[in-house]
Amino acid sequence: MNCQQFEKLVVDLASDYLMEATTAASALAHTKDCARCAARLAAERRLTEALRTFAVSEAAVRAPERVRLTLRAAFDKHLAETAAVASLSPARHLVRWWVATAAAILLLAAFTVALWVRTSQMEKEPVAGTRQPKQLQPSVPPKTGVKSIVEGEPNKLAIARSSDAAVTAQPRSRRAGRERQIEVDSESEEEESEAEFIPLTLVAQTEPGETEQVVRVEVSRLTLLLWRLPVSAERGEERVQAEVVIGEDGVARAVRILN
Amino acid sequence: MKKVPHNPSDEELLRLMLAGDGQAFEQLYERWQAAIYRFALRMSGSEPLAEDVTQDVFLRLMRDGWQYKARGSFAAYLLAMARHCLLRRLQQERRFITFEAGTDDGMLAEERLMAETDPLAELTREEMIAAVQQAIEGLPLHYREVVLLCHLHELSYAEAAAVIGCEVGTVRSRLHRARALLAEKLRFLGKADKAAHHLPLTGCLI
Repeated sequence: MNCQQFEKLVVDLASDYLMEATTAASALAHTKDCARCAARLAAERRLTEALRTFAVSEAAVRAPERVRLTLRAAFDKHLAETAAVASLSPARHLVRWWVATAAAILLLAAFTVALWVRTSQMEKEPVAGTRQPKQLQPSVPPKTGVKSIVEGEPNKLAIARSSDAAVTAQPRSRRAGRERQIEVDSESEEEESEAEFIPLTLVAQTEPGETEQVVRVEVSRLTLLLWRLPVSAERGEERVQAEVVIGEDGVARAVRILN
Repeated sequence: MKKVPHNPSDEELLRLMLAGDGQAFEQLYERWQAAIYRFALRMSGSEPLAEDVTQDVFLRLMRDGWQYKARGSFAAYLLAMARHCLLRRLQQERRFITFEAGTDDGMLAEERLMAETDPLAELTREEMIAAVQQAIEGLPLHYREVVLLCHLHELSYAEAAAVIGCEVGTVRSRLHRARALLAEKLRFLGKADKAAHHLPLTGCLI
């Protein structure tokens, strides 16, 4: 071992850190031949000793009692808060779970519908100027059925506000010469009750010329309750079919319960 | 509620504490408060700051203790948390001491210090302790922390590297230079053979 190699080991050697026995022996043997390295090792050992003395003196240093008291109070408070959350009734947990599930389904449905509407619009773009009836293929849910709404025909949709004033039927599309033809499952339509479309509050108004789509979806009664629709809360988990009027922006305008 | 065993491990105490066992919390606090407080105190030189850091560490342990994975040592986990809290508070209080390179000029201080005689050699134990404390607190922060972790808290190089978030080799080299700076500050290593000092390093490649 030479002095440069020794220099790399001197701190570990002086601090009694673990190292290979042969390496330690070689380093110590070097100090017998090299007075300078022996002095280096002695100096490092004195420093280590001073640091150890300091470390021993530090053993008495501890955090003041007020820190413990503060932390104990914080711990008890934290415990109480945790216990309060845990003491929520199972029914409330269930309701929360259902609300979360319903919200997730609603978001998924809205996203799918928006995607579908957008795809439909993109399909229309290349044939600008030629107004052809469009075949819409509802994607969600698979059983989706939609009505045929033709401009100029008496509209069957009676949009009633939940407030005192009822709004009479209005054409859902005002684009001149525009015709929206949507496939309808005629058999199922006959079986359905003719409920009124109920406008959803806090949504954008239908713009003149805006094309709308009617999409059939299956949602839980709880979701409809969240929309403040008049359904029974007793069977909140039961799923019902509904038709939703979707604007070009993908936002639901109105809803109608089918069963 | 499950009783705290007589000599529980840190992991066991943490698990019980997170389950709401106040006794486990007290035991864990008693076991580790001094180390955290001392580390923060010697790093910052401020008692109020050290108290705040100690509180921060245990509050975080209550909140995020479940994240602890028993791969590394519990001491390293707590000291890393303490270091993080301390640096954040130092930054907030604009008392941050920059991690400058200090005297990393290649020439190690021991070559200079060995020329000195030892004015502190005859100091009493108390005076020496005070001198060492002063010397440690006078080190740049990145040197100070390796000295505290490796010598006061007796962490291995690997544990200290885990606390700081650097390589083991970095800890080793920083400790080497930190000790050289300390020795220079203390100047009590002058008993080293003056004659030996005058030998050039390259003249001794045996």
